[in-house]
Amino acid sequence: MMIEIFYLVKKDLKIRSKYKSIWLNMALTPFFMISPYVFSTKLIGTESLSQEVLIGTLLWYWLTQYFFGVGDGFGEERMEGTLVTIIISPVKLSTFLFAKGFDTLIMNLYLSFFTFLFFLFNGIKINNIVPIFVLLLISGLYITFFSFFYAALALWKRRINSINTTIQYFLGVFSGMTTDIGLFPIYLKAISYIIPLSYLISIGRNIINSNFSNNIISFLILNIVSFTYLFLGLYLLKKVENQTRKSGGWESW
Amino acid sequence: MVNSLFLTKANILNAKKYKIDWYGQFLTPLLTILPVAFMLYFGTKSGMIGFFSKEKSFIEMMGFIILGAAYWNYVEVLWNVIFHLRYLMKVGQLEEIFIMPISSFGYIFSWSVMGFLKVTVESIPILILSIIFSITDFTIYNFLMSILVLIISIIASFGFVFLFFGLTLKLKDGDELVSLLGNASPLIGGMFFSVTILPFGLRIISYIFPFTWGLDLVRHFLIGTETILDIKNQFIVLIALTLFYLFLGIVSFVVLEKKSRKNGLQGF
Repeated sequence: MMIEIFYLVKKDLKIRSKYKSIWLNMALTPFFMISPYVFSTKLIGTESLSQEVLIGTLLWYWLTQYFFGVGDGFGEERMEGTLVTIIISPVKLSTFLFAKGFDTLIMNLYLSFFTFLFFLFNGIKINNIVPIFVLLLISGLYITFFSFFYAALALWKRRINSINTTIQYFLGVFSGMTTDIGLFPIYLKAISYIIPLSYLISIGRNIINSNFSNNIISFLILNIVSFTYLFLGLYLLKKVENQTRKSGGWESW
Repeated sequence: MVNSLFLTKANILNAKKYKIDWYGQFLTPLLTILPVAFMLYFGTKSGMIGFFSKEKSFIEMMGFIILGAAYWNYVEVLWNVIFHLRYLMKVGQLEEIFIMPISSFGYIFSWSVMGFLKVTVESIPILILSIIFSITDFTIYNFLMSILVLIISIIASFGFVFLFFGLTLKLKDGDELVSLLGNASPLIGGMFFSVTILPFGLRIISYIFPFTWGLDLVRHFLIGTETILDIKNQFIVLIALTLFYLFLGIVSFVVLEKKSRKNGLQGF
């Protein structure tokens, strides 16, 4: 499995190296996209609030990239006419998605480096940067699990990808990317608690505020929720794969 | 022109088939501003942010942001032309489309009409909200002036479309540059707050962006905010930048399209 992932990731990186603008876009876009939220806090809040919003929105940005990379992994290949080649190759669909997840992780690390750098130039630094990078690395795995579920859904109901961005914003808002979910009313909290990103953001904010001991429960629940999505995703993926192999609808839109 | 209208009709009929696309477009602008709305509302409620009691109310602040979002929707929608072009490249239909008896300006026109139709639908909720939240001193004169500024801004936006259309035909991945500019726009154009508070480097970028001046004027006419320069000078800057980008766009488009057609359009 690892060697297959390695070759698939290498293929994607080689393709991407042909498109120089992608690297420029990935280095600059996250900063521009999340900075309105972060700079808003500079207007109205304190230094720690800026950091809290920065880590919340950055983790959300990671999720958006996983939803495009892993969640829409099949859709992208279908559009480029390479999905059938992947289906007939001796690679499991789950391996293919893990490779997409690893490829997204590399890109996310690349963009995070520049994002932190640009914010530093603009006077916003992150406390405990090393544990934060460890969190980002770990979060890649958990968000990949969550994206598996979405990828299976998108393979089943193809048009769902046209509301991919809407879903990403929905998840970001309700996982508290700009607001502590503790301030939400109970009915909003109920939504927040079933989104793995909520726990990652909470852990990130605790790290920034050096409250490491508060992370144990969040980490445990994160594991339970994320693995539930992974197993649901794998089950759905297998079911949809069998259904599509029978109907031969890989290339239908 | 007639052929372009047929292409527009084809696009509309195609779009009608996929209703889920409309739901997403209807909700996304609202969801873009919701993170800030949540931060402001819950922040104020919790007492964590004491900003509003001193400066502005939540309603005033939201009116400011929502009006910015509505303006951006109209200006930015034209840039979807580039994503459509890239989509046609990826699905391998660009060459077939480009051998139809329609000029390249015709394609841009027909895809733009579709964009305006979609943005009008998707803007309904935020336009209603902006009216509720923002328009305090409504006068016909101010309303007409804001429409005039919006039209000038849309012309400037076409300049960007021509420029990036040509670049995408030539470089193939020009959509990445549009994505970058589109994502940078809310910050450098002042959608969430006035650009005057931006750090110096970013402020310089925002001042060479025509939409910064356009949005600032629209806000002035509809909600009475102060402008960066005086009204007359601000109009001069907006028009000068619009003409500059339009000229740059048309010239680069003509040159790059000619080169691309000569070298072949296949591939992405």
